[in-house]
Amino acid sequence: MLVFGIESSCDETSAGVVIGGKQILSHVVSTQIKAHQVYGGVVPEMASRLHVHHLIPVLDAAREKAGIAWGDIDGVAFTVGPGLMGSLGVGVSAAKAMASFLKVPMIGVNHIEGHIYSNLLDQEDDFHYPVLVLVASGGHTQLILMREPFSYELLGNTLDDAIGEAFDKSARTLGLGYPGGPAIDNIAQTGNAKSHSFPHVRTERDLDFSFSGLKTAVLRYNQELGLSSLPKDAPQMADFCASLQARLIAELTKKTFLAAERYQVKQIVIAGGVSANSALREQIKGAPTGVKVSMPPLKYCTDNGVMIAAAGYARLLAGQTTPLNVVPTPSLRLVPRAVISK
Amino acid sequence: MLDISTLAQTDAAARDFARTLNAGDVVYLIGQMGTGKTTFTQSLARELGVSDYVNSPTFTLINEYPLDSFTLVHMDLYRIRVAGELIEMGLESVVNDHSIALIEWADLFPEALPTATITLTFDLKGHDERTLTITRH
Repeated sequence: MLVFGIESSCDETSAGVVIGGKQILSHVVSTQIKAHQVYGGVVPEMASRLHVHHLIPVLDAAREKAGIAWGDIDGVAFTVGPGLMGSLGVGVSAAKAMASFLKVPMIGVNHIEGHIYSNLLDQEDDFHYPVLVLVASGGHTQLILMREPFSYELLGNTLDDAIGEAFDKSARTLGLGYPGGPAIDNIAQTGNAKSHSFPHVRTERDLDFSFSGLKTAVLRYNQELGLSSLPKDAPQMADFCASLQARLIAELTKKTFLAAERYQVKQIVIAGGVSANSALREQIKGAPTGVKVSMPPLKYCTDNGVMIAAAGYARLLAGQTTPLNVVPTPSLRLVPRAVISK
Repeated sequence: MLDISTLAQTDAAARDFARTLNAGDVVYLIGQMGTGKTTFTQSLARELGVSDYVNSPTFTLINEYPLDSFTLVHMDLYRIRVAGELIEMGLESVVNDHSIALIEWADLFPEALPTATITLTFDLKGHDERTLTITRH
């Protein structure tokens, strides 16, 4: 079965074609298409969120690269939420137009579920339930338990910043540019991860995360040591980045492994942009014995259409399709709303 | 000017301020990283009845918390590059008479935003001395 996936929830306009939820025929992201080629230089390339300008060229490219005809498509999957109302609306409208014209089902996918299913792309294997998911991105940091397909329990969440944001704001403080995660990861490669220490992080519930204290610690270190005025290739910068990265990633893995043991999971999967981080990809392998560890292929870690197609395929197989009168849901939750004490 | 150097002071100031808000209010939050904006917003949201996690909107750009008589909207414009993006985000459908909007980095795009009814200015002096100034327009 051939599913076309569309993602437009926030930064990226992306589309892709996937067979059987696993085999990728095409993967297109708007930033790959040179702005001047498409619009004669009218839209500045930096304006990544102008989805309405990017969408049609992206859809066309996804079909063409896949080497298929529009009529070959068996279903159209799209991100229904969470995200920005206007951005989601662009993708939802396109999916409606395609599905009604092609007379195929449409499948609304939660963006986070898409990230989870990116773990099945290019893989032989399916999920081994119960599965523990670590969602680590610029906007999200969550531990989610999947006891069976499409069943999600929120075990932990960040209380303040997401992990990707902690990387990004630290990089901003250190003068390392944007995006901050890859910049810190790159500089950290030659550094000594034991050179700088950071304060202990406490959360009331042991599976929640908090990164604002570490962010403040980076501000203090910078005031004391003047790190932001050092050249990027200074050994002290490498040491600091290595220590910071090790600490941020340790917060993730420590709680992931704690949850894996507590809920006796068979598999851990990571999802979201920070799953491209080299330290996380290495450290997560230290999972408790007997627990299978999976991570998405590097190029599908950030937002993309093929992950939406992969999740859409699973929903379609289960007979779960979406009516044509669907509307975008900006604050869509994968799991029921958490209740926090006041 | 309020002293919000401690967590307890920030919490109290946010809860007092929350009780003065009405649907339709647009609040700009001005202040550098680490001046207490996130902590303030979390306490304010609790006071208004939000039971969900209140996370940073820096990457998600807009976080919405639907409540009984209005929606609390928390936005961060730091990553926006051109004003046109705000229109595509659907700002008009989000910030309106049925919302209370908290907008961080609002000073980047004053021309593209609804006018503030209140401005909150967060300052940090030295390491630990934080202050908050509330300006009603």
